[in-house]
Amino acid sequence: MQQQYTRAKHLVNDEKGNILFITSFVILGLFLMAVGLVEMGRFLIIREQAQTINDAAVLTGATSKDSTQKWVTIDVHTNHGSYRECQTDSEGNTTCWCVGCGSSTVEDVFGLESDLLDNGGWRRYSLFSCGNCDTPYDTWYTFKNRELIYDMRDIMSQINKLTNSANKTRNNVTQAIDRVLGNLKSKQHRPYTHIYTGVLGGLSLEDKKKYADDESLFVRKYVVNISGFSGKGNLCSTERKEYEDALYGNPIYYETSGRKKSLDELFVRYMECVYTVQTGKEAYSSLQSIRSIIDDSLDSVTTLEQQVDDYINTARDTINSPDYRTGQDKAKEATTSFLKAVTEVKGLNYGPLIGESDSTPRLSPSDIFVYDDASSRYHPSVAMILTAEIPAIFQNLTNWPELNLFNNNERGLKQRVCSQATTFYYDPSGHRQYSAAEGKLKGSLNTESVIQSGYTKYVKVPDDYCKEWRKDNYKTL
Amino acid sequence: MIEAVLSFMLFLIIFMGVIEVLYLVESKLYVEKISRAVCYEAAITSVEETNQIRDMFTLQYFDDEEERQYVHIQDLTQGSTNEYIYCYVTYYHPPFKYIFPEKDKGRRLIDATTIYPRQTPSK
Repeated sequence: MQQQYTRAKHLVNDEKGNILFITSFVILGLFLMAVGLVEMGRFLIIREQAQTINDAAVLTGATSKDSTQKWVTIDVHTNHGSYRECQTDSEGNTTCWCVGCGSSTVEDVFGLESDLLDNGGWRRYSLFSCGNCDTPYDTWYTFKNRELIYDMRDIMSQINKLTNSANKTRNNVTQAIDRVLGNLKSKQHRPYTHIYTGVLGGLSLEDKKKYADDESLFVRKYVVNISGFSGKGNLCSTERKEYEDALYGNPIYYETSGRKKSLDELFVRYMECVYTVQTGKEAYSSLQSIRSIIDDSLDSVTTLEQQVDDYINTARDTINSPDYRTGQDKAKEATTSFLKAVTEVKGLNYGPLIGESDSTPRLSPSDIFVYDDASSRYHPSVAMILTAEIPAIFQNLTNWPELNLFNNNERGLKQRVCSQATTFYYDPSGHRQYSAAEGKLKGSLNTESVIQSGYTKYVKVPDDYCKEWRKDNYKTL
Repeated sequence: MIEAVLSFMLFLIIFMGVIEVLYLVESKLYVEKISRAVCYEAAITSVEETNQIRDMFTLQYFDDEEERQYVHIQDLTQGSTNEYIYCYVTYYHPPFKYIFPEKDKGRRLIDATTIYPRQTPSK
């Protein structure tokens, strides 16, 4: 007993090998710490990479042209310019002046910003020019609204409004031509302006062209409808017959239209009719020198209407096509395809684990939210939760089942990162008017201040989805 | 006595290794964040001004002359297309910097590659 006690005491007091013993434990501790650090460091790096990839992917979805489209509503104005008229007096002096052709507006033109503004599509809605005398021809657009559209079905009612807009334009142009025809002051046209307006005024553009194309039609309308002569048979044939009947029948009185007229009166009327026909023919001939105004405006309006019809039909066909996908679908596709591509560039795996696991971290999207509803407080943006599964390098040392950190038999860490990207766009007030003639912004707003103030003002910044997501998901930490 | 010295040396080496790992991780996170920030800014800038972003970042974040010797942002037009911007940032991590402060004692290259969708300048 005593011998055993002595041996134990000797063992306790013996310091030989202590260093080895302590060193072994400390090295083991340091080794475990190093393992933990390597794992944690790798985890932090992969998380950072996942965040980068996620940020880039949602930005792709939020701003892809296929999915999120900026649509604008503009008015396209045309100042038709002015027509130059000249006349030469008896002494050979020529005097010229300008006749304004007025202006017209195509209201509520609705379309893709990339088409209407970036590619100058708004010029399709510019109408005819009648010259560049004192008031030069100019055309410009006025910005009304800019909005983001994800689903074309939401905008059909607005597209259909284009038809009304085209109709209004037709009326504007028609009235503009009537004004021009009534305001010509040259020696050539002045005697006939009342005939132009009388025959062509108030008619549709097509009818104006019809009368301008056909002399007999033009003259007949002037003689019969405007001047009140008979329209039966050939022009003036009735007046001539009345005069001849009176001449060869009752030379004193001849009853016409319920009133007795003298032969002289009938003769005068017949001569007036002949003179009116002659004047009508002269007016028609004179009209030909300015009829390009009618032809050009009709062409402009017809083209405009054709474009509007084509546009509406194309939009309708697109929506009714079985292949039609909403912007939301396209945004999701753009996000995931970019995510996949960049994940591979970064040397990571994409998608859920299928088959055997390896040590390469794996990224897969958990949720993609496309906030296309304008009433949502996160509109307009795309948010994505990306899950990064990071297999441990030292898998046997990181077996902590109680922490529930594992996935598909892979031992490692799982991390979710959130990213949100805004489909930003600027307040339309910063982009008021653009003039084609001046090649710059036009209007009452000062150009510089428009650029400075308008281009830096966002229409709407959505709420931070990720901030709230983190609050909800990591509140226990 | 000699065992104690050798053990202490061993601890020291392992400890230094751990510190070095921490530095490497920190450096890697650093370049990753830089590449992300550079790429985002470059993506929302017009094609013509892309490399101005590179210069701006270099001056803004690495105003220290010594720091600039370690970090390099590659020409942003290299590898970029009209649709995507490619950013490659490298950091020459000097190993055991706290022991060997001279910059030429050896370097370890740490890099980060980022690709961002190029944005059309918005109105």
